[in-house]
Amino acid sequence: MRGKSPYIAVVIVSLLLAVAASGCVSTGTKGKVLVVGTSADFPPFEYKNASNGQITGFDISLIKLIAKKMGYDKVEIKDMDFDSLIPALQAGKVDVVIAGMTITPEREKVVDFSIPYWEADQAVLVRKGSGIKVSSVDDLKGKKIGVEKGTTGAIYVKNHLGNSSTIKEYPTYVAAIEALLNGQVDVVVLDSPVAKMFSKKYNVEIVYTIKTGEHYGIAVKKGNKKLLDGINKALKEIMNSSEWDKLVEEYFGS
Amino acid sequence: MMGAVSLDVAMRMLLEGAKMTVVLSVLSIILGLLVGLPVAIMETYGGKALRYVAMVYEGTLRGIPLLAIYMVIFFSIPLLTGVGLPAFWAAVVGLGIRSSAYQSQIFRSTIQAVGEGQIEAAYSLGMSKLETLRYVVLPQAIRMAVPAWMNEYVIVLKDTSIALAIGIVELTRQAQYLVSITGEPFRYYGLAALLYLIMVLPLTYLAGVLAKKYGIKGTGGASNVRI
Repeated sequence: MRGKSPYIAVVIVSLLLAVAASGCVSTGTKGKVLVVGTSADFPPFEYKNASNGQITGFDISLIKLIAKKMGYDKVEIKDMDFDSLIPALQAGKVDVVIAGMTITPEREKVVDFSIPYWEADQAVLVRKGSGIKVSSVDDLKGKKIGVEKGTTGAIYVKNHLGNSSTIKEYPTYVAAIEALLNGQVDVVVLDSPVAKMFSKKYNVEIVYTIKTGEHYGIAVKKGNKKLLDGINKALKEIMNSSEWDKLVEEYFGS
Repeated sequence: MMGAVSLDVAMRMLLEGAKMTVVLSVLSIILGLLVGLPVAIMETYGGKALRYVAMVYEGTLRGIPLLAIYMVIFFSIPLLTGVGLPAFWAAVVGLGIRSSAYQSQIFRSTIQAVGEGQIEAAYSLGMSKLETLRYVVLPQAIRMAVPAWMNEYVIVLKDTSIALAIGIVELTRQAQYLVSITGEPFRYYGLAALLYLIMVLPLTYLAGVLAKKYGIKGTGGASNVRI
């Protein structure tokens, strides 16, 4: 009898694995579905519409237009942490990533980017009435700075102020803003379009803009030239048409 | 497009998230039980090799943060092998095998807590090793494991929130959505926390009741002693 029960264990484990594997479907462009990765906490580029539960935003409308032009029947949105997006692209979990993602040399080493579709700078946010004045990057020295982990704002402050300031990284922009409101940090550095949105909703204001001239791009898996060419062609067409102005008006108009 | 959200809509979103939290936690704890109990038996009754395999298995999984387990299952394995699980099943498997490691330790300790004398008595009655395990050890070990096992379920339920990293829209993620569109972290994280508590508190109570009901009289802990 010795050792029989472990065999049962092995059988159960393998059965379970088989069950798990049967639920396994490798994602990909089956038929004409474009699988899009995003991180839906970056309004107005991507966020969840509370009234219908759908993920929406400037980026989402844009990628849907692009997909339509490229002849896709359907766009499937997969939402995840911003930090998980590039691994998801590499692992083939998604076909493209559109998430207000700045084109950087580091990222270009691991993924391919489309032509830029948006230009952004880094805004410095403070609490209203905090009296903190910033007229250059040097004024941030010695301050407690909040950023979102993995973003270009985080990379910028680490490179320029890493030795002279305390930098606190948060998993989302909202968490960084909350920390600002709580007084855990003195300033938050983040992408200017989103900073503008937050300054309307929270008790915070933009006191300075660091001109970084960053460009947002749509990312595809390294070497996926066919998809990238299609995206670039469709993107150019859209940017040169009235559809683009309509999109901008819809999400940035008010 | 953004701004205030009615409480109705917000609660619908949060409850939808809570549903995912419950489904994910139930599937994970069951997977953890189906794997964890055999691992515990391997570790206590297996031969040298099986014992070693079980120890490496639970030691490894208990030693890796859940987030890292998720990253390996969801990203690394597909990169290496070309096939992988969809996010939901990756979340179940990750949380399930992590829980199986902890559950194996719960059952190992209760299996070992069954008195030596009982086992010797079973052998002397002519019961085989398997029969002893089936009729003497496990019935007691499983009963003694109830409180710790319920506690493990509570931990699994709360740890479902980590699955948002791989794209599972559970309770915490829904709260994040609401916060990012309304700018009201206090309200929506507060509501989410309340919902977690509403899910957990009855379980904690149930654990106490079950411990009383299934506890072995005269053994293990004050909850079974009536003064």
